[in-house]
Amino acid sequence: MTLTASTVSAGARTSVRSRRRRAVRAWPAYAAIAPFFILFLCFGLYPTLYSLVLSFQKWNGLGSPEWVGLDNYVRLANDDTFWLSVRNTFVIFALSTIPMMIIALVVAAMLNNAVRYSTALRIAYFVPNITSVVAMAILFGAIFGESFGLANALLNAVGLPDVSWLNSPFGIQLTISILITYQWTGYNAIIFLAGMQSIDSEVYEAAKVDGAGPVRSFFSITLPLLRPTMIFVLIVSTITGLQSFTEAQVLTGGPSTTNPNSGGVGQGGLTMVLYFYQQAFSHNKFGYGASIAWGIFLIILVFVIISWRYSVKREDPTR
Amino acid sequence: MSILASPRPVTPGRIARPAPSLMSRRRRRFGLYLMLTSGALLSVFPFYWLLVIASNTTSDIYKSPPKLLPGSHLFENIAAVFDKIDFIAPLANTLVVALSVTFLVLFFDSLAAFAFAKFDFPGRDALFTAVLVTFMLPMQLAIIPQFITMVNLGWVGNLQALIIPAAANAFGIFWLRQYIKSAVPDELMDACTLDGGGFFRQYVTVCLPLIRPGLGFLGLFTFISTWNDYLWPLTILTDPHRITLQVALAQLQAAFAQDYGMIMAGALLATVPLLVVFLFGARQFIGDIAKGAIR
Amino acid sequence: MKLNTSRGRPRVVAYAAITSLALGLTACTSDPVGSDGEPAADGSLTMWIWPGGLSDTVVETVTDDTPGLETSVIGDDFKQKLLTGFTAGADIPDITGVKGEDMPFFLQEPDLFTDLNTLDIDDIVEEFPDWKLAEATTPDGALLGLPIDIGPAGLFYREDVLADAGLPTDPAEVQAATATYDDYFAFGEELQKSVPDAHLEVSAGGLFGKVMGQSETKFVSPEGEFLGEGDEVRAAWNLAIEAWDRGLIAGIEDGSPDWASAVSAGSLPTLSGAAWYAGDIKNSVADTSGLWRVTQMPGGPANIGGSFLTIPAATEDKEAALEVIKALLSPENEAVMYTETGNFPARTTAFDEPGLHEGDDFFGGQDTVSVFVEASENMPTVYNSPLDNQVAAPYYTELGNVQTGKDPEQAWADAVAAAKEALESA
Repeated sequence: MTLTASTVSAGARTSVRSRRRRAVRAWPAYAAIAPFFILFLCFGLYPTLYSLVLSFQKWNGLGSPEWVGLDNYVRLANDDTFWLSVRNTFVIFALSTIPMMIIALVVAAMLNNAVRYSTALRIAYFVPNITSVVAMAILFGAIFGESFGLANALLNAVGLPDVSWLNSPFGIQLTISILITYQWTGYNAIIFLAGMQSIDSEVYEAAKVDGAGPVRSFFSITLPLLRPTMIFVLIVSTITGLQSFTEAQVLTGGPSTTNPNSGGVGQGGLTMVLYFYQQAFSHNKFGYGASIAWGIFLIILVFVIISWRYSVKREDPTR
Repeated sequence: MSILASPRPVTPGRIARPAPSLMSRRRRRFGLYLMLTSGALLSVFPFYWLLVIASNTTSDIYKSPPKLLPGSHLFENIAAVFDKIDFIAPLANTLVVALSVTFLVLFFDSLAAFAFAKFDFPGRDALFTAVLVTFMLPMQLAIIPQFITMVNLGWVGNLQALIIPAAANAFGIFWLRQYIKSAVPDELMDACTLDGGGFFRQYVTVCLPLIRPGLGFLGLFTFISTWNDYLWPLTILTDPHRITLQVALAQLQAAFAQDYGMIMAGALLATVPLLVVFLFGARQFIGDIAKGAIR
Repeated sequence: MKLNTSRGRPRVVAYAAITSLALGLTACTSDPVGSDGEPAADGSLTMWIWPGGLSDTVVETVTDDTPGLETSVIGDDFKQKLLTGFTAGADIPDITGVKGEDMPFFLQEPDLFTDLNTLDIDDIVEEFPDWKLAEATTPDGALLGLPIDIGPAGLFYREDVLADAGLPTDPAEVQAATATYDDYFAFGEELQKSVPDAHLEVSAGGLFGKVMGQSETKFVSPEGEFLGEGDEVRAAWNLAIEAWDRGLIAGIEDGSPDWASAVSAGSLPTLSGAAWYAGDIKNSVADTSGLWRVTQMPGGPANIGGSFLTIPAATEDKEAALEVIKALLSPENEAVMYTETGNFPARTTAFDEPGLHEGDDFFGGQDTVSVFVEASENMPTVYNSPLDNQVAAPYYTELGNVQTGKDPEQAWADAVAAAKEALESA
């Protein structure tokens, strides 16, 4: 679609003068986009730059900040708890993203073949995603209670022993992963489904003529053609998964005041962002907290770039 | 392609083997629906369980094996929530915040999206790229300085600390720009210009009426995510009379961790309004969210 | 097709957007605005407290006499919310509770609070124990808070479960059978013979904390030296490890739903803790009322927690705030508070209140006050460093790791290293 105004511009050699005149004339458009940029400068860019300054300082929020140079970053690199939180985050990320992608694909493939009740089914699969993480985390705390929870009752019913869900580090990570998987599988299934429905049905017909069964056409047609959608889902899951906070904070948060926001037993639920929050707001180390935030940002950035390049490199040649 | 509003006429046996017998086709259909339905039940089961726990006494909940059916103590537990904490204020606060943010986002985002989609002005493409780049900046990076900004503005503990920074966002601009490009024809814009209408008249009389469904989606999306927001309200709000529902819920859980019946009643109260709002627009919403993703 | 042109106003307007950008920027960088929030000039007073910090009945009674008083109960991390208010310089309550464990931190920032010695407290200050007042006094002698309660500890137990196990049930006999930790652990093994799924203690970290509460020193000396490798800490650690090795520890989080479930099921028939712990027990397992008793702690009296009421420096009407505090801490109200929440009165004259010794139905009519009065007379009083919480945290974390299989010696080495690091970086 050509833009209304583009025809006016007389090619690339517009003089500076007329450019300026054009800019002046377009003042309503600038006014229309100004609110976003004002808000972004105030509450996005400025705080981000300030957090860089802060990460070179030591400040408890009450007195005056003290310049400490690279101390915070040196400490961060040697902070075992930070690296533990990185490990926890990646364990939770892997435990949630892999099953989530697989289940979502299967659900989407099934929904793609279902005609009746499709609206009701889609709503049912989607609804966990719109519910608040806080409410769901509280509920999961009850379902995964060690001695009274439904999960262990079901395990016992089929002859398995209790699992120490919220009283061991791996149990905590597993519970958080199940919660994330629960909340995001339906969402991703709906997105996969849309991707599947945009695939031309003639491709399937052709495959059918060639004698390909449903399983084969799923692997040799659906999956390759779904790649862009899968990349989108993977990137979004990476960004949200590596920033998980609420699940861990609510599931491991208790009435104990000795150790607030420490991630539960063995710090199993201490994710990167929870550690950031603990250092900054429970321990009032704003400077160190800012350097943790930058550490997290770099880790996510590197990871997103890796998964992006990996997926683009293997992009299907037919596209 | 709105996948919910108009399901494609899919032939059921589309990817079936050549000429399967009627019986095996039926059996497969049955298997498909059995699996889909069990999955859907699993998906909504936690909501049932929420109701079960919220309607039983705390000592019943701690019994093993757990009770599987709703009890008769729902209203007692709800009453206990209101007794323990001020629940009305968080509810009202959350409504105020979610509605204000939704309104402001719809207004500012559609205005900006309209400008980006329909006008050529110097620096447009660079500015739009800038919008997309702001997407990438993670929230937690800015949270400490943002907190300090709020300190300097004197907004700590006040609801505008939640509303103003959220009043416009990159996602909405990006999404609505796509929407406007396809939903608002240039001819109508031209007609309006010939009538002597300027930017804002075009926005009000041409653009807004045509993008109403898109605004519906963005509005619902914004409302839901604002309603569920947790980290920033937790950080910035202090006085219990001015906290949001999610923070109140977390506080309820932290302070009375043992009284599960009551806490679950609180979780139920915080969930139901949103569920109702969602179910009103669910059909279109689910279609649009997918549309945005695969574009 | 034309750019919707020409109806543009002069250049002045064209730059409006840019100006507003600049304005927006200055708005965010400007210096503190309205930093004292909305001062309560209308005679109203706000108070912050955590759930169970004061009794609801007492707050209601005092509010009836003080029409402007509005109380906010803050459920989450209380210290954090208070600090947020102080950092923001806004939204600060006129009166606020400060938990005992947070007081050392706030003593570093005495300017945030009113020195109560500058107000008229002569009539009541004598009635609080000196050691408790010392916990809220800065090196310069400023008194930042008046104590609400103190934390003498006891051993709570389920009479019915012990009776079923053929163990002593009378408080004096239980005390004799659990006088030292050796006795206590043997008692626990005896208990497990008939109640196999029973545990003596909730978590290794919990036991460690209570033994530290019986200690004369903590993790940091008044001179700022690291004591985390010292005999006292090591002894507490060893006891926790021993109890864990002997299978006497449940390995769950204190106060969690799992805890409540275990207490309710009778698999935690003994619970040691400060007097206020009774409030937690009553709240979570109301249906076991009448089955509980309390006696002295194994290993001697402990001092765990106990909090303060303070007046922030920004409070306008300090006299009125002090009147509210005096009313809340009246002997009569302190007695009500004990009955309702288990917070043991800091004000000694409260012990003389009639009715306080009448007995508590939850404890089968036992006179629980006398148990804690006895404990409080022999409590250790200690120096609490502002850094204690941060330095102690690694020990709790590592004891949690031991519960999930970590080698205790490795855990100890890691805890000491992390505690030293926490002290150095603070």
